[in-house]
Amino acid sequence: MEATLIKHIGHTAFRDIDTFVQGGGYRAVEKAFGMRPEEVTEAVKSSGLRGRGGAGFSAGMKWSFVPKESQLPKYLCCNADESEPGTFKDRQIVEYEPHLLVEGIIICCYAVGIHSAYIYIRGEFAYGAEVLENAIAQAYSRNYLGRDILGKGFDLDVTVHRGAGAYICGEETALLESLEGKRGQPRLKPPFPAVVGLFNGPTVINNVETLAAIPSIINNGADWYAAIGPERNRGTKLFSVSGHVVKPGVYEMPLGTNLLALINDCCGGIRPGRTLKAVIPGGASASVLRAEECNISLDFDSLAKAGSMLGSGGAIVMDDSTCMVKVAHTASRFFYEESCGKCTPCREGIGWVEKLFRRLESGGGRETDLALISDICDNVKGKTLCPFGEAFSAPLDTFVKKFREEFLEHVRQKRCPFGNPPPDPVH
Amino acid sequence: MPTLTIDGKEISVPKGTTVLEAAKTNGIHIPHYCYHPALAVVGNCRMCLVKIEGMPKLQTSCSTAVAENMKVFTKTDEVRKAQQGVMELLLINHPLDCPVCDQGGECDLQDFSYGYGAGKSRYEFEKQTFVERSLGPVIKLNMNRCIRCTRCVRFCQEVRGKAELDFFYRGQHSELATYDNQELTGALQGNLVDVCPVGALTSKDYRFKSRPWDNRDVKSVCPFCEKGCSTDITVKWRTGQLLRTKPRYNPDVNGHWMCDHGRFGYHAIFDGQRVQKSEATIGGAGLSVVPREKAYAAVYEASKRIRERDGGSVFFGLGSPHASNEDNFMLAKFMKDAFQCAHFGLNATEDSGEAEDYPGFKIPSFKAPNLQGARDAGITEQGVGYAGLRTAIGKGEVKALFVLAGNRFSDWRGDFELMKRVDLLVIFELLPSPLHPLATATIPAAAWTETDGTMTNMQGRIQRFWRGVDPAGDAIPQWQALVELGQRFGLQGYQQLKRAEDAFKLLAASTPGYAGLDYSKIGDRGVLRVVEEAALAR
Repeated sequence: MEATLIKHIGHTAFRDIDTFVQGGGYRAVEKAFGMRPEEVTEAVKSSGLRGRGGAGFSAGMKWSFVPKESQLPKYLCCNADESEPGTFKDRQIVEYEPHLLVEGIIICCYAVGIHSAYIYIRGEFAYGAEVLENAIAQAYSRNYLGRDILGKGFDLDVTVHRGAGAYICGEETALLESLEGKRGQPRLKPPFPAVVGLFNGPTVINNVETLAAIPSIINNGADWYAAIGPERNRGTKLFSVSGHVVKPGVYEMPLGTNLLALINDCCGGIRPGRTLKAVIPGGASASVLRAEECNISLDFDSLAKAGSMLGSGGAIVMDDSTCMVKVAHTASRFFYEESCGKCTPCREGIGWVEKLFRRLESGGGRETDLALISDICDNVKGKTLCPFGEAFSAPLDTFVKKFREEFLEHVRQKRCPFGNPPPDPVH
Repeated sequence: MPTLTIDGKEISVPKGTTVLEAAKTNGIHIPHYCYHPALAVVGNCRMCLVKIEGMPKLQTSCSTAVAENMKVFTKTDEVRKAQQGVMELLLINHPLDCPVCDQGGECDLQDFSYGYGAGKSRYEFEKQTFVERSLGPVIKLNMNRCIRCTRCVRFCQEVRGKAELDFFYRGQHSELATYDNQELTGALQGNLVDVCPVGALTSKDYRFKSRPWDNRDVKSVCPFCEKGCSTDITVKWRTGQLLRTKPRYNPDVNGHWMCDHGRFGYHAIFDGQRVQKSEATIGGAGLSVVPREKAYAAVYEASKRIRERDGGSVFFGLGSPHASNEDNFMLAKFMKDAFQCAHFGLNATEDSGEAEDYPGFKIPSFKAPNLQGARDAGITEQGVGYAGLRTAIGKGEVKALFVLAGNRFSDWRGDFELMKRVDLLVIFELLPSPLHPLATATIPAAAWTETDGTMTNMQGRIQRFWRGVDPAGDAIPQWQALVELGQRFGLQGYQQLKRAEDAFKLLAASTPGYAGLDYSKIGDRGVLRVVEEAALAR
């Protein structure tokens, strides 16, 4: 199967617009401009493309929610705030296929009637932002952006905005707040961004990978795309694989690829002499899978059915040398640092859970701590303002439930059985 | 009007009403912190979660609009567990220093912990701590107690119109502060103490003065400008001491707020040297302290002499927009009854020119509460205010002057020489009036907190205030002093005027726009006086 999203990974030549156009780039823009905007939206809808940011909502549907007529300007925000632990896929598109992203942005804006697009990129991707800036400047110089694009009467401006280093700004409404120059904290929904978004205008927010998939859908047709992957889970997906595999990296595979096949065939299997223990399949906010659960199809629905999620497609593979209490504590520490503090259960709950995991990993924990962690997670789950509450309560609770014996061993031995030192203090 | 049920109770409320408001107006209490009826809804405290049939997750009732046939449950096990969970989480980093916290006894965190919490905590770790900070002249911030509901932040943004207060840092570390630790500005800072549902923002003026269970609130009206905000004055039961002023919700006047000039204005009266005794000049000597009756007698004797010499036309009543309707009315009535005098004016009519417009609250520039009421009550002005009076004195047309609220004589220009041409000067005063040394008789007057009465604000809204504290020393309401003086003059019908309302009823009977009113009809929120269109045009 030919890669469509990261065809030129590792080749910097395609950052240049001439090379990109020679390779067939920006053809999809010309093709889309020959279609009516509704037809473009319809094509994306019928392709079955689901958002690649984690929630997996139909991209075409999202576009169609934006009201046709609006007093206020409409906006596209490309979410490049890739911060989910274990996820590094958007970065490859940004750095090696910047024009593919710009192309996707132009098509989306044309379909929805947007004349102003922002790429919100995480602050740490300074290099990626520079690559994007250069690509956008080139696109302006060839009139793929700017006034009267390709003489078709369509205007579009694209601006790159670097975030200031908060995980929460990947949440779409916090992203909007941050982009407006405010404190990056989620907004209450409804109203949804499609109706009241950036600067109160109707706003489409799509992930980098989602937008990068658009040109191939337009070029090859919705049917071509809809033929990839299982029912309701169409197209290819980037999987960022990290951890104890021989060849970690980003792999583009059809949705529905078996997790074990990804690990063994693409990544060269678990490192020698070790056996698979667990996989976090979709970034740190996806619930962990035990080794025996890993014979699973990597698609939105199968993973949801297994009590986890495809999320960002960031698979963290762990072998039998891994202490799951330490993993849980590390994850909890990340969420503790990144909770924005706006709503009570998340702000207070994660601090408490982090302390309990820390105590368990340090050997000072008690058996009752496990039930307490589960109960705190239950008091957080479904009760927070934004999905962050679920993002930590579900996976952290799962660690305790699936690896209970290992937690109890820490309690019994009053130390980490894997010999890990107590965690560093948080500031 | 969608109809829904809350806990089985059928309720019809206007479209767009939130579940929380629908419950509130129908006597069902849903605990909440971040919701405030006058501020934007943010839904961040998560205390108001309720079960709505058909929705998988609990919903924040503050942000959910009612819908036809919606079924809301506020007391299911699931809701109770969520409330207990939120309460426990709110308290894990809270210092639980209620015994030394100024908010203790009037704290939503205490109340909802008692009402909806589990009564115990499972948290065993060290709590997050912050250093206590000052946020300017009015507010002390104790961040340890803050529950980050952001009411104060929204107040500054929406009502005060300057985003000078916000959270810094993230998550559990987030800390309320001003940029670069600057002081808060503007005249609405005291409201931050009121909107704070916990003890994080406390008033530097009130803190540590009392505990809520030692206090009682008395309904009042702010006397420091013509807006006439509805207030509650807090009085310490045991000592009768006036402790603070708080805005009292009145949608027709001030909403939920009041300004700092009004809130802390009482200090100007109560921290000063109140006039406690009546004084009079007896037998050509200077002023000396005398019983009230002696003062009245001195006034009576002097009046008689002047009247025999010059007739009733040289008597002049100087009313005040700082005195109540009853006070002004009785001055006008007494002057007419005793001297058939029809010469009146008002002191303190100068506009300060200091209006303050905030997006959510306007502070008018005229800094007396009752200009409209004084005019309504019969102080029909001769000339313009004090300027007119000066001219009249200069011409020798005024020989006897009765002055209400002489201490608030902001028009006074130091005209001692001119004023010496007045043979009889009677002053009612709370604090020593600038005219005090020239007076024939002075009567200590009760403050607005020390008597019942009414005032009519700039809208023409008649509002009541209630006696909350005992008058200072021998101070007496000005209307009552005028009644006693009338009795000394042997005037008809003065015996029957025993209470402020008696004077008000007489006022209502003789004043267009007040007809048929009594205190019970005015109520807590006041009523607009009825004004003929011709009068409005004027």
